[in-house]
Order: sequence, then C-alpha cells, then structure tokens
Amino acid sequence: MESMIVPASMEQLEQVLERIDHILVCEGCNEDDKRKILISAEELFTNIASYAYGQSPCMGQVQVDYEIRGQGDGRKEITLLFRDQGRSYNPFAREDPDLTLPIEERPVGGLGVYMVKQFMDHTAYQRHEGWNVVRVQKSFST
Amino acid sequence: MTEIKTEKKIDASSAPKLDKRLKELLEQGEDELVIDMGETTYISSVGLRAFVSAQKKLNKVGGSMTLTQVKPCIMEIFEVTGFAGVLTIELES
Repeated sequence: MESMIVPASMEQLEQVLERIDHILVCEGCNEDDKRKILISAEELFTNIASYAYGQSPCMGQVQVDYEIRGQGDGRKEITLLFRDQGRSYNPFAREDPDLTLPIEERPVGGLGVYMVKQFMDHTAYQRHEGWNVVRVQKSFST
Repeated sequence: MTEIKTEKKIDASSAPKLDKRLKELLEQGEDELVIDMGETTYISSVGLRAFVSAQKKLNKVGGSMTLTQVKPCIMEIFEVTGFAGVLTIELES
C-alpha cells in the first residue's frame, strides 16, 4: 500500500485527486468508474479538511493510502484509506438524506457522504488509536 | 433570460465561482436561467448544492432554471442524489 501525507487543507485537494486520477489512468480504469472514485475521494477529503481539526491554528494532516489489486477477468479493485487524527467522527453513521422531500425541505448536508456510499462498493470506518480511518473500495473494469 | 456555461469539472475549486455567479444573477433579478452543461463531466456535492440553492430561490419568485446539454454521466449523478425530479434537466442532443 502506498501513502501520501498532506496538510488537512482544501488547497491540497487537487494534488490528492490528481494522484488518484493518475493511478487509475495507469491501471486502465474506465472513465465512468474513475469519475465515481474521484468524486468519492473529493467528498471524503473535503470532510476531513473542513471538520476534522476544527478551527485549530495548528493544521493537522491527512494520510491517504491507496492500493490496487487485480481481480481477474480484467477487473481490478482500488482501496483508499483516509486517516486523520482529528476529533472522532464516523461519516457513515449519518442517516441517509430523504430524497423524497421537496427541495425546500431537503437538508443539503450529508449529500457528499451519501454519494460515496452510492458510488463505492464498500465503505467502512474505524477509530483506531486516536485515528479516524475511513476505508472505501471499488471494483472497476479496465 | 441569461445563459451560462459550466466548466468541465464542477468541483471544490470551481463550484464556488459557479455559486457566486448564480447568486449575482439572482440578485440582479434574473428569473430565467439556462445552464449549458455540455462540457461538464464531473460534479461533486458542492456543485449540486449551488444548483439546489439557486433553484430554491427561483421557486420563491416563480422563476426557472433549466440545465441543458446534460451528459448521461451527469444525469446519473442527479438521479442518484434525488435531484433529477426537482431540477429541470434536458439531456444532450
């Protein structure tokens, strides 16, 4: 598994997404799955950059781990781990938004995480020794 | 009527510009927006929120916003997030 460690800042988002994009292109990932994986990565990184470390002037860091595994039949699977040492927070514990509500009553929060749950095959969260560890996986065709 | 074109990616870096532009137009009293999404192949939640916010304001004044030239990959995102039914969307021809 490879890693990148960056400050938990929105200014780092582009760099993180470019790296994941590059890996997926090299692995021959199709455009449709690549888009869903990148949107999911954007949503998860944005959550950490926006909320994990609160207003603390000492900016925390995010560690993004990634791994690609072959699954046979031209399919591969990407695993992404987002780790931070901010306040304990399980993004997947949040209730899914009610998509039947009229637009005026629909809460706009929670939409990003809902997209991650829809787009990735597996999502998991663990609090481990002071770290939030968010793991997402998706199988893609090449 | 005002027509604007969205960028290839409506992400965390470009969505604030779109949101600002939409708000400016609405503040100027524009009540008929046409959004050409023909170039757009990526939209994250921050972009969706910009459209939802504009649509809510337009609903209050009886205005309209039409998203045009929407690619199937973007339509899929509107469908998954439940916005396909509450936004006016025309698929690319």
